[in-house]
This record gives sequence, C-alpha cells and structure tokens, in this order.
Amino acid sequence: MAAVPQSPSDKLLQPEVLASLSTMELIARAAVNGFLMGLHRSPFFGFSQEFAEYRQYTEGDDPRFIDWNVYSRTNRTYIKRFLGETNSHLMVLLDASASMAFASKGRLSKFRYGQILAASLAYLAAHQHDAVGALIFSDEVREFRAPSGRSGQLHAVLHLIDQAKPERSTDLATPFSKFRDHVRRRGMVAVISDFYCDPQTMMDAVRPLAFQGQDVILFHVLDPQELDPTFDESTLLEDMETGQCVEVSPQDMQELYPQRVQAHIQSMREAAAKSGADYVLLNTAESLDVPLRNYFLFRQKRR
Amino acid sequence: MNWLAPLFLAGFAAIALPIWLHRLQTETPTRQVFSSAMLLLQAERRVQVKKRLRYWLLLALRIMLLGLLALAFAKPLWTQPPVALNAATAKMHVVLLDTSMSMQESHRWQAALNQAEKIISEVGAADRLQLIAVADDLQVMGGPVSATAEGKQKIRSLLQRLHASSAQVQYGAMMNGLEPLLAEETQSTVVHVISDFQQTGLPVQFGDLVPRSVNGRVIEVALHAIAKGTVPNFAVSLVERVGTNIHVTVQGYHTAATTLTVALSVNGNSRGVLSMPIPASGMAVFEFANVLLNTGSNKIEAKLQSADTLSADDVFYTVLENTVGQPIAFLSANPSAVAGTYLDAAFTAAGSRYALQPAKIEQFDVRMLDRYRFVIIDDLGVVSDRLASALDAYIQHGGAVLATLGECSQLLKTLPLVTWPVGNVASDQQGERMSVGHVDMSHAALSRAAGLRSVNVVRYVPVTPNQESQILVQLDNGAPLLLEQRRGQGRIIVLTSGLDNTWNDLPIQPVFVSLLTEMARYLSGESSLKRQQRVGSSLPLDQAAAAGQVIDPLGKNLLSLSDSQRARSVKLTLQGVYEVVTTAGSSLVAVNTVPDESNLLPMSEEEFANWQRGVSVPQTEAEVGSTAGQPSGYELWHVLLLLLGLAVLAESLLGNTYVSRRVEVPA
Repeated sequence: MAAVPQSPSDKLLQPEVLASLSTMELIARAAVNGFLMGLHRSPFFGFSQEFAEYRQYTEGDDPRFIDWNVYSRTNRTYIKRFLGETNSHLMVLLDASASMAFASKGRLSKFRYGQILAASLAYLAAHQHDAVGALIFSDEVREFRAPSGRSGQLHAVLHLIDQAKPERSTDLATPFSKFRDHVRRRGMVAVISDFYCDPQTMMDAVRPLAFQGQDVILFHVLDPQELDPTFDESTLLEDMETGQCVEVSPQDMQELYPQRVQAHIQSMREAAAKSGADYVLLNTAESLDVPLRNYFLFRQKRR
Repeated sequence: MNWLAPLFLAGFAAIALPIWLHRLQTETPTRQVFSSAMLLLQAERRVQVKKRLRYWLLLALRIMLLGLLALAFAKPLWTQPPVALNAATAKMHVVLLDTSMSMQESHRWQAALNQAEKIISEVGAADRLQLIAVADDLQVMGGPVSATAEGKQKIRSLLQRLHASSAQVQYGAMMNGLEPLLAEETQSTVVHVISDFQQTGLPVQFGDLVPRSVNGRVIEVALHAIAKGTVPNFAVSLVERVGTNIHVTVQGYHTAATTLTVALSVNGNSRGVLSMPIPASGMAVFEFANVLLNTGSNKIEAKLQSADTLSADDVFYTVLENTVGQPIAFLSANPSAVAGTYLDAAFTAAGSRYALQPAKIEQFDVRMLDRYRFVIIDDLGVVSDRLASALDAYIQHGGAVLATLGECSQLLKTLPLVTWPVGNVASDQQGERMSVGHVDMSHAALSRAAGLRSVNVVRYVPVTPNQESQILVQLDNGAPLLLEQRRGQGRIIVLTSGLDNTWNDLPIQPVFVSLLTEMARYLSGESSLKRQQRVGSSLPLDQAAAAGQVIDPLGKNLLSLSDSQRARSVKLTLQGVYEVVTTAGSSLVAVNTVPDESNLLPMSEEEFANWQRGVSVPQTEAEVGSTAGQPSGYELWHVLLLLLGLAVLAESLLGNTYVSRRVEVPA
C-alpha cells in the first residue's frame, strides 16, 4: 500500500482527492500545481522558469510573453523564452478499453486514474508551452486530436479526455498504426494503458514510433486487486472485455496469480526497454506524484 | 445375475441427491467482473479443470456409494453356472413344446413351430439342443445333440413330426418333471417353454412353477408365449342318459350368444340333429328324446356342427349300457326268505344292471353256474359237498361267490369252500349288540362302505381264517365280520352273519345298497373299469391283463402278448372309444378331452410376468445356503459391502481434502 501523504501538496495529488473536483481542467491544474509545489522542495528545482533567450515576436505568439522592458529600450517586440520551452509536443494516448473500467472497492477505476493522468500531462505540457494532443483508443482509434500549441487546444484536449468512456477490447496495433500516419513530427508520446496484451504485440506497436523519432513513455496502470488479489472464496471471474468466465480458487489467486502478474510486468518492462521506451508501473492506489515525476525526468532526459 | 430383493433397486433414485447437491455447489461461486482473464487463462483453467475433476471424482464416489448400498440391499445373486464345471461356456438348450389340445386352436401350433425354429436357429454351434414335447407328461423327442447344422436339422425333422395332442398340460407338473430329465446334465441349461400358457394350466401353488436347482445348478427358463388374448370356444362337455332320452350339454367359453347345432349318433348311426340357442359364455342342454339303443354297450357320439377354431372338443364320446340285467344266482335253503327280498330290493334301488335269480340250493343245477356273473349263498353251511366242489371249480376259473353264515354254519367244525374252522358261539353273544370296529376302506368293494360302522350285530359265526384270507371288516371285539379269500382266478367273500335282519340290522341300513352295488361290481369283475375317462389318464388293467387286450379308437392293439400278462395299466392318449377285453367279456371305455383345455383364456400378463420373474430367481435362500461353497448361485452382497466401505473411506478422504483447502485460505 502507498504511504499516507502528510503535506498538503501530497494530499492534493491523491487520485481520490483530484477526482472529487468538478472539471477535468481543475483536476489537471490541481494535480500539476500540487506536483510543482512538491517539486520546489525537491532536488529538481529551477524547472521551466529559468531564462534561456529572447526571440523576436511573430504573429501567433502569446502577447503576454512579450518583454516590454526590451520593447521600451529597443522599440522592438521580443518574446522571453525559458529553459523548459522547446519546440516539442506531447501526444497522450489513453486506453479506453473495457478492462480499464476495473476498480477494486473504494478505488478509482484504472480509466479514471488514466483520465486524470492524461489531463495532468496535457496541462503540464501546455504549462511548458508544448503542443499537446490526445488519442483515445481501444481496439481502434475512438477519438483523435492532433497536437497543437494554439489557444484553446488544452481545453479541447481535456474535453476529449473527459468525454471518453471505457468500452470494447484492446488492440494496440491498429491505433498505433493510425497514429504513426497522422503524426510524423518528432515529439513525446505518453501511452496510458493496462497493457493486457502480449509484450511482443506491444513491442511491435511501439517500436515503429521509436524508429519515427518519437520519445515514448508507457504508463502501465493497474489496480491493487490486480497486483495483489485477495479472494476468500472460490470466485467466478468474468473478463470485462470478452465476457469469458473463469472460476478461481482463493489459494491459487493468492499464490500463483501475483507471480504471473509480476512476470507479465517484467516482460512489459523488458519489451519497453527493447523498444526504446520508458516504462512506468502505476498503482491506482498511489498518488499522481509518481507519474508526473517520471514524466518530468523523461522530459529532462529528452532535453 | 439375479436379485433376491429387486425392490431395493429403487434405492438407485437416491443417486439424484449427490448430483443435485453437486449441482448446487457448482453454482455457488461468487460471480465477479475482472479486468482480464488473460493471465488467468493459462493457469487457472488448468486449476479449474483439476478442480472439476476433483468434483467429478467426489461425485462419482458418492454415486458409487449410494449405488453399492442399493445393490447390496437388492442382494444380487450370481447365477451363471461356473466356468470351472464346464471348460467351455456352452449351454444346453431344451426346447419344451406344449402339445396340449389347446395348441390345436387355429394358428397356435404353427406359431409354436415357428418359435421353436427361431430358437433352434439362434443356438450357437458350441451349444447342445434337446426337444421335449409336453402335454400330460414330458416326452423326450430327441437330443441332446450338438447344435451343429446336422444336429439342428435332426431336431427340425423331429419337430416337424410333432403334432398337438388331445391331452392337457399342467405347468406345475411340467416344471417338476424337468428335474429328473436334467439330472444327468452337467452344462448350464436353458429351458425354452413354448406354449399358449392357458390360465387353467396354472398350479394352485405358484412356487410349483419355479424349477428347483438340479445338482446345484440353476435351471434358466425362458417363456415364449404364442397366444395373446382369449379366443371364444364351444365344447361338448357331457352326454348322459335320462330315462329313454339322451342329454347333450354344450359349454361356451368367452363366447357370444348364438345358436348351435348338435348331431347325435349311436354306434355310428345318426339319431338326430338339434339346434338351439346358447347364451353368452353359457351352457345349453340338447335333449334327444326316445333314442333307441342296441342291447349291450352302445357307442354314443355327440358332435357340435357349428365348428369353431378348436375342433377337438366339439365331439364327445360316451358308452351307454342297454342290458336287461345280468343274472346273479341266489342260493338259499329258503329262496323266498326275507334275505332274498332285501337283496332284490337293494339291487333295484341301486338301478343295477344285475338280476337276482333265487334258487333252492338243494335243487340247483351246478352246470348252470357259468351263466352267472357271481353267486350269492345264504348260509354257507347248507352247501353240499357236491355243490362245494362245483363252486370251487367255478371260483378257480374266475367266478365269484358272496356267502353268509347262519344257523347251519355254526353247527359245522369247518366251513365248506373256505375250510375255515368254526369257533364256539359264546353263550353271552345272545342278545348282545356289537358294532363294527374296523373297515378296510382301501378295498375296492368297500370304498363306499363307511356307513358300516353304524351297523349293529347281535349274532355272528366266529371263524378262524387261514393265511390266504383277508379280513375286510372286524367287529369291535376283534371278530371278523367280512372276509375275502382268493382262489385261483376268482374269489369268495364271506359275511359271518346273515342278511335277514335277525342277526344284524345291515339290510335295513342305508349303507346296504351302496355296499351291495360295489360288492356286485367287484365280484363281477367290473370294478377296475371306469366307462368315462379323460385323455392322458391311465386305464387299470387288473382284470383286463388277464384277458390280454386293449384296442384304441383307431383299432390298434395296445398290448403285446407279453404286455397282456404284465402290464398294470394302459395310457389313454386318444380321444374316442377304447375296447377292453376281459375274461368277463369286452367292455367299452369312452375317452374325452379335459374340459380345462377348452378354456382358451391365457394367463394374465401379471401372472406371466410373475412366472418369468420367478424363473429368473430360481433358487430360494435356503437352496442357496444348501449349495454354499458351490460356484453357482453366489451372493455378492458381502463383496458389495466391502466395496462400500472402500468408497466411504475414499469419499471421506477426498471430501476432507477439499474442505481443508478451503479453510486454509486467509480471510
């Protein structure tokens, strides 16, 4: 189980707390702000606010970033650029298959957790002036919004994420193929899924993205009941995607199933490494600090 | 395999209980959604299959447990004859074919032959075959032979020579008769009974239908019914003379009301044809008036002209005597005495065909003796030596004498003819009443003389019979009252008292008429002949053998020369009139079918099923006990109990394992 957070920022990053907020934008802002508050006390300070250079204002730039002091001295308009700002973009791929709807008692579902994470990543990316886009998939691409840095893009992306519903089965090959066709510019790709698929299948889907020059990070979202199931009697488990029923005994779920899950995670981790992708295992019982911190490190590494 | 208590097999229904419980158990697991069965499929399915196997094993154990319990209570009996007794598993097949009269009905005989042919065809080449015909007795027609093609052909040829008889079959006697026939058989035996299974053939005790084991082997019986449902049938059941008329009775069995025609013939000559209605399943009496009969014996044949599907019982034969009375000599010192009156009245009251001819004894011409069937002598003491000598010769050649003792006899020291010493008449015998103490009812002349015990005797002549004599009736003081002595081919019967109602009251007792009638029949040599017989019965030849011949209705002599002296009886197998030649002349005996065979109603399905079930459990418990140690008829219940114990142990261990695995799961 995750440790009980003590600071207000840690408390704010708890998924249950975030989920109680009304809108996805508010959730994302709370998550990112909470994360950044914690980050200032961390060794990773200096993020995004350090000055890097001036760039001449061009049409389309946000006028709020015009350095009026320079304009008064030179009578020219310049934009002030900071260290975290690059010409990058972030594409969030959120798995909306039926299996993501699973939630153990008192927990957020994996999908809700993934929604919050996706929204937070989008908000954080926008906060860093990266173009952001989103793709909702299951066995095909259900919703897609190309990355953009335009005003209103973040709102549109958050709306897209908020409106998605978990249904149907998982198939990484088709959505990822379509994604490669539509996004050819290099950037960052965050995939949020429970990855109930063959590691080789995942590797086959992700590896072309790496060859395309994308930096891929895989967020493997699992529920505590999936990682360490607790059953006190024989149970008939029904697959949320296929409807297949399998009767399990408590002893076997207690002893054998966790071993198979860990083996699967390890296989996914190795497959991700072979594909040049970062891999982050997420427990829906833990706070969003972990994925955001990993994303931060991931982005730092890319710089 | 048989069951001594097959009702307990109903306990198999209890198997539904564990099945129901296991079905409930399999539906018990909580249903819950799970993100994906991907990681369950590879391992959990195997676990699930393993668990299901465990459930199935547990269920199978519980079913076996209950099944064994039911089987043990049903007491299975392993009745297959032991292989050890016969190295091969070959069987002896006995085809028991009913040849009774009812099998003549319509298609029954052909159906029986077809069934026999089917059985013969199905018998394996390693088996053996035997053909037995059964009616009033069992007759081995052929076999046992090996059931090769040649052997089967032999049995088939014997089968084709068979035909339905006019006799009756009794199934109880049939099954009893199997035992001696199969006593020497060492192979396991299957008896195929082919019959119409008439209800009238059933024995009083149902147990008689179940054959006993022979030499410890169980006889397997297969019943093959070739008739279903009843068939209407008419039969002529009786022909009798009433005065100058002849009455013919026709009986209907399961028949509808109709009109029948009966023809009557006497000695082969038609005496008329009558038609009259008969009610449904009822009886009708056809009255032929003033039928003229020839003097002597007449062959009467009454034939039903409205033919039905069974013709054998549509004809009835009888023999009617038309004689003026056979002469009996009554020799007395005073023929007009009261004794003669009593005798004449008794013969007249009995409707006897004997005519009493009184004669004064001293005037009797001994040359006339041969005219009389027998002679009655009133007071043997008056017989002269000359007459005694003639009577002795008469008796030696088959004649008979009934003699009484009187005043003259008690004056002699030795009685003539019989040479018995005469004892002293006690003075106190005068006026004292004595009664009859012992009567030999087994004697042919005394079969209807039970009333003799009510006779009172006040005087008698005490005699001392010799070893050749037989005391038939004794007084209560032990003195002989009636004695018989056989001499040569004839006999003499002596009453040690008189017949004039002064020494005893016998002449005025009711028993006098029946006693005299039986005595006359016995002395005249007709006592062994019954004029009406049934097919299958035996005709005693006590006197017929002396003359030597019996001629059947087809005119065939039944006795060879040697048989005519030795045979004690002749089996009457044909319907019709037999002629029996005796020293006293020829007599006719009418033989008819058994009325029970005319009722074609087969036994009920329940009775048939009970019989079939009975012969499938041929051994009683006692018999099984008596054959303990022998391989056949082996009870299996103790083996089942052993298996039951093992099943309980295995079920407990397996069930406990399952329960303990569930308990170990942490909450």
